[in-house]
Amino acid sequence: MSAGSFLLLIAGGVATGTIGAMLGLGGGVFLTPFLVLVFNLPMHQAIATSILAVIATSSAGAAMNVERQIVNLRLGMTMEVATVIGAIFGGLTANVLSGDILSKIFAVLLLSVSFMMIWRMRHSRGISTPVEAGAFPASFTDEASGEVISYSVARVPWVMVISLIAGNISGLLGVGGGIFKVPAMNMISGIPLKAAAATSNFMIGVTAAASAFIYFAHGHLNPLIASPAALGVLLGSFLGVRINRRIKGAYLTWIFAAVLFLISVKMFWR
Amino acid sequence: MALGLALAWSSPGTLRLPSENPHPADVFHSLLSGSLDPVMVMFAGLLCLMLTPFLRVLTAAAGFAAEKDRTFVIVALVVFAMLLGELVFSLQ
Repeated sequence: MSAGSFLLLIAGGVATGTIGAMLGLGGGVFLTPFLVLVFNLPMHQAIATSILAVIATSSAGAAMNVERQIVNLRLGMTMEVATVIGAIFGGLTANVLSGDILSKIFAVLLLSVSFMMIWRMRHSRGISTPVEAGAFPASFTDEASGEVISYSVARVPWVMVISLIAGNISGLLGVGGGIFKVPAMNMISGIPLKAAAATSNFMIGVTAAASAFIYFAHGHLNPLIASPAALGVLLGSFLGVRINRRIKGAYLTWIFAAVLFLISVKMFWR
Repeated sequence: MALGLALAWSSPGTLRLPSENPHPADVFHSLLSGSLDPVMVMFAGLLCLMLTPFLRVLTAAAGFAAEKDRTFVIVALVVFAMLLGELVFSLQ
């Protein structure tokens, strides 16, 4: 590998890690297209690398978010039961499908998610379910506004179904699953966006680990690609969590929607 | 991972990627035998990273146990068992 490629991989990792941690996505959404479009890497290898990056981002961000008590640990662990099952089946399915089909599925899913996010911003600015109305009651201090936000989780069975689907997509495409869980947790269950993003960030590393060894066993993990990318993502994720403290939830959603839309168009016209 | 990359950087001519990913036991056996093969060191770093979520679930279970919350200790252990099952199944 040339010095230029090596530096580009680290820089790409830092950029995707920063954005991923800011948005509770894990960085996989950005790293997979980066590796496929810039490095022309086979889709399966890009997904395997992305899964590693998701684990790195989640590991870095989760510790800080748990410390700040934004993560709803009980909710996260409950959702993880469904997510891990989905991720294992997703990983097994991905290794049966061709790279071309995976690429198309990736583009279509990102398109639909980006449109959904744009639609949502026109109709809502984020909702929160009152403490007495649901399960898993929790509260946290929003560092941007200084407000103490108390909430609970409504419609838990629906969140479990979403978790199963998100886990499946995570194992299939190496995207962490936060892109589906964060808006669903907010729209369906009324979990505030920051709590949803932090809980998702805690979860996605565990979800990614559920399919990581499947890709490893199939020989899709190239250490010369995965190591610099994962290290870059790790560095970027520390940066992303710090930036996240200074940005309000609504801004996060706007960035989330716009970036996803651009990536989906790029992947679609590949 | 960083050490593996540094070793690979310092000896680019001798770098050999295996035709398929080695078994984790072989990776750690290679390191314990004192070998500093850059590829094996990188694989060891990647494997350690892949195992960190396992530790996170166990830590959460310990936290729930400290709070005497049996229900969530069981939930966390179920998640851990599924992860372990996937690991064993994949590497067979």
